[in-house]
Amino acid sequence: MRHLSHITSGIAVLVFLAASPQLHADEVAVVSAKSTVTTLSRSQVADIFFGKTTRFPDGSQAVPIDQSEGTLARDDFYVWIAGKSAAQMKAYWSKIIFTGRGQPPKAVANSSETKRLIVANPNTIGYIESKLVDDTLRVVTVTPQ
Amino acid sequence: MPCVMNAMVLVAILGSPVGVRAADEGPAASMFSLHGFGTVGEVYSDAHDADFVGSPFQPNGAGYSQAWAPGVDSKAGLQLGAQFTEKLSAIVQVVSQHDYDNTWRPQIEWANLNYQLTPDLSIRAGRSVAAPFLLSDTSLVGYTYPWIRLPIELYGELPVSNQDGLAVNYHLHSGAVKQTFSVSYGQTNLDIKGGGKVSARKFLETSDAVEWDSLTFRIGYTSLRATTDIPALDPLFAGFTQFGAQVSSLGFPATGAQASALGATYSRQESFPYAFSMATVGVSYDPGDWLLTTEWAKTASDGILERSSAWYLMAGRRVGKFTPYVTVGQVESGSNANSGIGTAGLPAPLAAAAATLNGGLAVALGEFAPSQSSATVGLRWDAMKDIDFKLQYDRVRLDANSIGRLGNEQPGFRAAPNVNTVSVAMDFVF
Repeated sequence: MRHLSHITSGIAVLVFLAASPQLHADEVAVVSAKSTVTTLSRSQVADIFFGKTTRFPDGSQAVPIDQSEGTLARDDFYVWIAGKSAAQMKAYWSKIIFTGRGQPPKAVANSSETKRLIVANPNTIGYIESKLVDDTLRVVTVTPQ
Repeated sequence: MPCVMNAMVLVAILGSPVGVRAADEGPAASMFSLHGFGTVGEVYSDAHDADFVGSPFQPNGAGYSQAWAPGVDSKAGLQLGAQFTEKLSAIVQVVSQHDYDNTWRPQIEWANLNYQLTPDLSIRAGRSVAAPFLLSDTSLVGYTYPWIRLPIELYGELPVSNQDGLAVNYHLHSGAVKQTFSVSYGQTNLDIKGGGKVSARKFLETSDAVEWDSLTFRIGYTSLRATTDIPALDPLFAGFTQFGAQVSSLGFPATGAQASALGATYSRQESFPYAFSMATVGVSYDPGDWLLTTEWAKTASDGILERSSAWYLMAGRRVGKFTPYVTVGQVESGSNANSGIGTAGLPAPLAAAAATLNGGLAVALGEFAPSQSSATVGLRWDAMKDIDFKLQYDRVRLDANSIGRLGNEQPGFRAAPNVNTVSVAMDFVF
């Protein structure tokens, strides 16, 4: 039984490590200040950016705004939200594209371009450096689960 | 080298600035999207009297024909998508690969219309992917998987990449779990070298894939009416019939009847349609730093192709831009061995002729009862954006009386216990 409890506490530590939030750069998920969305889980954000859903949990339309491949913001975002590297994301989208199941989200060059599109459309969601947030945007609270 | 030239020309067309621009602008910019993929590879094999091949449709490969072969893994594809309305889209994919007639002529891999009835329900008509296994959706796109080629023991169980017909897909979301049900029905026709034809009619595929976080679980069932018409075998079966008539006239009616019956049975089995079915299970766990994938398949057949079972298990680890991986796999077929014509009591020249026919029969039946296992170690290097390099070593162990997944076997082929294969490849997508 002693061994068993060692094993279970070992497993508990592993589970804790796996579940702990990953460090990410100073980046936040944002929607328009006119949007009704306030809180999303990491997997809900991931589903929207992975093209697995086209709706927010409340049923309203969700349009993801990505940043271009190779940008630091994009690489950090996918590590934060899904634990996926740039190469894994590329492999993921290659799978989707080459099965005809979809196209990646529209991608823009940088955070200020993201901000411009989000302010213009209350259905959009994107990610930017936190210092660029102002009262035209709302920071989405992203919960681990 | 004309084959390589053709592939190069295609790569050049695929890599033209027009294609790159269309892909970068995304769907918002245009109704059309253009994407491409490809693999440039070389395979070395020490197989004697047979070739290591990437699929049974390749006429030759590495080993007997040449020590190093580019045709096992190299291919290039171009895909044009069109989003006509929010609900109606079309896709055409053209692929150039080492084909049955030793050419690299581009073939239409897909050409279909997709109608999205609801966000979760779609129907597709035309030529679409045939996906009996977990990873067969992108079997031609090396960039999407760690290996140089999908594990041959399992993926060789039904080496068909497309079908002409109808397909329905339905997604079901419940909390963090997403399920995808797929049903397709159609047919496909394939050529093999020497004028042979393989076809699948009443080709029904059903699957249910469950995704939950990093875990994917998929079950599938396929059934079809298969025809495997291989003219190269006709002289062998005709030989049995002729030999039967000959020995009967020489005063051995029992042996003659046996030989004629064998010729008639196998020539009927080889050219007549038969039922084939397959059940599959696949599991993939991909939390990020490492990945595990395993699949099983079990086939049943009432024709010349033997029933079989196959599986593989792969583990890989991602360390920065490098993904080392190991895989073990196996395919085992039921025994269709037939000792052929009894030679007891025959005069020496007739017994020798019977033995030659029996030897030919053993090799022919071995083609329909592949049994082998293999161990693989490899490394994928995501060297730069959209390009990876891979190095892979496979050690294949053939069972007695089987050519396994080798091809282009030569007269007198005898399975060496082990075949060693080293492969290098570069994959790209855009």
